Amino acid sequence: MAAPKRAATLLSKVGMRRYLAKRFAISLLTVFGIVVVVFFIVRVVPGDAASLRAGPYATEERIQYIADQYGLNDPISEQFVDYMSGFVRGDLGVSIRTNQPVLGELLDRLPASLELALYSVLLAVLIGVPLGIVAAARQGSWLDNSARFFAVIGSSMALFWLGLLLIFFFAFGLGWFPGPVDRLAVGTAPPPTVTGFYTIDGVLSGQFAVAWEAVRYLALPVFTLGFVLAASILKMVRVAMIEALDSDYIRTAKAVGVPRMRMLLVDGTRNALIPVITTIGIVLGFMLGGNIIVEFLFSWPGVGRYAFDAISTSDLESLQGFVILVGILYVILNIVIDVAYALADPRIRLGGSAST
Amino acid sequence: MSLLEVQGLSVGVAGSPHLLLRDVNFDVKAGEVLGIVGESGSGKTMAALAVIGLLPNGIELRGGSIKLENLELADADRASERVTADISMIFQQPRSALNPTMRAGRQVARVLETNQDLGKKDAKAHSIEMLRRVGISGADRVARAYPHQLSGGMCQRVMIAMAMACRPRLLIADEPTTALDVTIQAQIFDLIRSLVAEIGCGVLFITHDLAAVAEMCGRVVVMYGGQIMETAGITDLLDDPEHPYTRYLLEATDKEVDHRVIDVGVNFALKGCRFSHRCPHAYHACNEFPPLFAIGDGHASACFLNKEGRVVTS
Amino acid sequence: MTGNRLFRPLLIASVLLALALVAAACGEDAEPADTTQATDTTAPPATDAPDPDAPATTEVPAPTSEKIIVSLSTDINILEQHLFRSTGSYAVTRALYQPFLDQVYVDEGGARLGTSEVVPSPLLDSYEVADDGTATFTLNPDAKFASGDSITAADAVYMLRRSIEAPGSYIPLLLPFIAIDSPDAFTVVDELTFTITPNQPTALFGRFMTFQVFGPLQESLANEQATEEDPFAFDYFTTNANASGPYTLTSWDQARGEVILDPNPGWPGQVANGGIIVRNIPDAEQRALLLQNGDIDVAVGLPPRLVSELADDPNINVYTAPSTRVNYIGMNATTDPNLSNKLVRQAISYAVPYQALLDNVMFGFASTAGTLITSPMETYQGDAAGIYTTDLAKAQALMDESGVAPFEVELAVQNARSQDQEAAVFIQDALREIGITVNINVLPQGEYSEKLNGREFAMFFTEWFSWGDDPFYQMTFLAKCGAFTNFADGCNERLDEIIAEGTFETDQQRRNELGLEAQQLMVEDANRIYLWSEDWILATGANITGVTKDFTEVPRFENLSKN
Repeated sequence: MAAPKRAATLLSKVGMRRYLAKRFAISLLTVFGIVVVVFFIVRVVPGDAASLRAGPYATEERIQYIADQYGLNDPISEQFVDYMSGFVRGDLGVSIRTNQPVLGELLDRLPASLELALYSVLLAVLIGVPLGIVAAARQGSWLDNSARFFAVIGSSMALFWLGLLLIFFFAFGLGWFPGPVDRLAVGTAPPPTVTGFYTIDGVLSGQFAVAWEAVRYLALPVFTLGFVLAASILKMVRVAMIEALDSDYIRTAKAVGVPRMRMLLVDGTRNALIPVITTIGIVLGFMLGGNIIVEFLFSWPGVGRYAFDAISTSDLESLQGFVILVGILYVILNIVIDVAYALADPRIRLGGSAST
Repeated sequence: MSLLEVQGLSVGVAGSPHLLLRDVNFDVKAGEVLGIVGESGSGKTMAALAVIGLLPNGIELRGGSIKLENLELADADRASERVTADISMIFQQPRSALNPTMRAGRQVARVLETNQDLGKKDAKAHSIEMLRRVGISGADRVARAYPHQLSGGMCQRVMIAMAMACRPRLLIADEPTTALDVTIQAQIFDLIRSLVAEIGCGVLFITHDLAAVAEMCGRVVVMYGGQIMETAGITDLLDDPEHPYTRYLLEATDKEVDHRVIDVGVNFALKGCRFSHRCPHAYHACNEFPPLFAIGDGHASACFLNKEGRVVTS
Repeated sequence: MTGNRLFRPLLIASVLLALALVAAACGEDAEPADTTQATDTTAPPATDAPDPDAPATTEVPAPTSEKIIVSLSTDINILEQHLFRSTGSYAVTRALYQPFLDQVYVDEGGARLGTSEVVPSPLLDSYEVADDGTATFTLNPDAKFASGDSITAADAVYMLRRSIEAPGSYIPLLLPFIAIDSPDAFTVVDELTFTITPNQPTALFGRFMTFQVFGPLQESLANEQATEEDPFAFDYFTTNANASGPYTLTSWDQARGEVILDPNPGWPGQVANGGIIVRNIPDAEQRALLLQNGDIDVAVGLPPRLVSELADDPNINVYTAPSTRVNYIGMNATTDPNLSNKLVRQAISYAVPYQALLDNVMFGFASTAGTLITSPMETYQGDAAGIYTTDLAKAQALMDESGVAPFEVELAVQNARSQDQEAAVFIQDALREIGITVNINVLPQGEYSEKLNGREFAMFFTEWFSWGDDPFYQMTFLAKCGAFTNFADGCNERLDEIIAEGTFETDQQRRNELGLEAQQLMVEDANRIYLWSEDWILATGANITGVTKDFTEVPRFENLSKN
């Protein structure tokens, strides 16, 4: 079985540090490139936030006054320089809609999106990986066919539709879960912030009831996302696993009497998970974009909803900040995936010497 | 009594009436190396997989018996399962036959854990010992290495170590040196011979290389098209081959069988001798399946004609 | 090795997962934060004797100590009282900034509807207007900011001057209507007394003084928070307040879109509840469902379709009242020359299915608009003005008379307004009958706003609500020649004269005459299709009382009570 080549060169343990340093440098360049590209693209978006902000009592002068206040009338080059010099200092500008610094607003909302994303991916992995393994191990059986059916359904399902369905049945119908109000019930104070994850912070501060409530409010959105993501993961795991099981070393394992289950879980899965890491990474990246649809549907106070508001009101600074943030997260994620990949596959991590 | 007795073994593709292996008979005694020789596609690997119980998906047993010291292994239901720990097998491409994400020593240790019920620490110590036994110097270093960091010959030694860790009664070696250097070949042969001498297992040595056969094997079985052509002791085979196919093999090249695509493929639908369409001596009787006619002591040929060209009468 | 051993761990895992789900479902919410206010008083100070000048309300709601959960139609973005802000923001700032005057309210169907009569608010001891229009305000010595500091005349005058002087303030647009054009109109008399001296008396002055944009702001705090670039501390007050109104700003979590208001101990009036939690739910359907579920108590900004469904639910109260809001389609002749022919515009006006819109798009939650002076508005005389009714024959005749060939035109709609989108389809069908092909173009808010201001639309949906319900105010912004918000760019000099005269006319009969003439002109000019006048609508749980409608139609919180 040919392992997909990620890093172009094989590296020794010492070279790993150099590799990471090189990656870091390239990432900085990438981020810079993202900022430049986003800056210009966002200005193509139609709409004038100043008009909106001026409201129905607008006059031409008032609109211009507001536009001047936010530097919207400056020449593009000047705006660009302003933005870049702000960016390197960590200033992403001010939202015209709320008059608040964009970076602060994004960071306030990021934990909500992250909590949702991570739990969804966790659920997707918990569902997708075992099912994928089972489907591969029992190819052609009813189990395999059901798993593949599930994968097709999951991939074709629209998030909005599934979310609405779940809300309708489980929240309003059966009342098993709370309605899509927020991360906690109206009136419940969030636990003191350590990580921004209510589930973790609640436990850390001993407010277990609050942590549990956060779990209940997370349930439906996490399940909506997790179900759909599980389908992709399942497919990938299944394919990777089948390939692994077809390999020579599995034959060897059989030939030396490794018990079936162990062989599946250890020999097979270890190798199969290498391409799956890429899939999980992509899935996580998709989630980090602040899933706008799910956040809107569940009134989730995350960056996705922030982006939606920014787009509707043509709030360029906020939109820019959001896209750049996601870009940076992607870059970080890519590095993490590469490292994970190297850790999982010794052929990449260590040098191969063909000497006797 | 033989260690391994295979009689009338037939194997076919599920859903197809044609047989890939037809009425295969051979036996291996303890401490003996039996060679199975043939071109690619002759069914020699298939026979080995049938013996160890690792037939690929979609291939099934059609009949016959495989007895390891009187334990019957030929159960159609379990054709794809390894039934006994007394047989182990080593393969052709040693590097790809090892798990790339697991250290070499660990792979050996695992075999020890499952087959000899050792605890982790014991297995680890033993595995290093095993690596030394198969002639690896610096066994500690090699044990910590991953397969891609080792040479082909080293990998093969590791695989042999894994195979021997099962303490098998029968070792099946499927073209173990085909992918290796000539110099390494010799070392591996030495290794196998020394292990046989030490443990007293039987070896089923599969190859297309007549030179290797000459060096390693006491007795040989020649296969073509899924059927046995001739069985003989090595000297008898080389000096006094009976079967037309054997003679063709020996004459074809000095030591090796031509690997180029054979001009005529094997026709598995033939009821009779599968070599008949290439045989210069073929005649009407060849449409029947030739049984193994005994010729001498331990020497049998599956041909209606003897080497003089006259019909065999017994 | 059989497959059973494979299944067992998987079986265990799936059972555990299922158990976890069931446990989550059966669990209950954590104890809600303490919603009772132990220390904040909801009753007026005990030393107060009943004050004859105190606002006379027809109904004193039974107070509750519980917090009321309100979901508004938009998010909250700015709390600075002199900046234009989102609809949701206005509701919160009304709770924080107490105007000097308030309306007299009457009970109608369980809701408190404001009349045109104005009286002093709890902030004042007395209020007098002289013949020349000078108004004298005497503050209630018990009225305090949330910080406990007294509200002084200096604070009031500072705030009034600020509304004109601050460069970002939009109030200068409103002040011409009450004949004020200079900060000198505001004078401190003594510690608790100040005067406002407009250039002349106006009908609107009393009403304007009920607006939240004229609620006292603490001068010392503003000066403390001022900076060189921001001399009036707009930045500070965008997110903070030292309230003069019934509530204080306890917390504002922008990320979650949640504002918590607690009763302001310094406010001399009576708050009927233990506080308000404002929570933004962006999707209207969800808002309605949560209301039905009891997760929220009050839902603002539900579209008519949803409201008509909720009206049948015994657990929900739907309050409606006619509003002077005007919903119309502007027709800009400059953008599309086909529309420059008056006969074409009149033809279009005859083709529109007005009743169908009222019944099927607004579900009866609207009244006839007629012109910019809508049917609930003062001086409305629709019949006499000859407002349009649906008459396809007349429409066709006018089209033929105009000599304009069938043409295509674009109609712009905002994607957040579902009723407009539905109406657009009706309009499209109707105009097809007279040979006009309408292409509906749905746009998001930001883009819509830009293009509207830029006069890029030929036909476009828009609406307007005038705080104070005044017809001349309404026409000033929407119909005056060259007004920025006159998006249809219609211009009629006589109408301008009427507007100028009517703005400062206090005699009711004369106002009616002017109003009638204005309506006739607007009918004749047909620069707009006057679709409907959307009702004021509020939906609450059945156990909520004290819903209030005032001149601004901004939701009022202090009278809400939960039983």
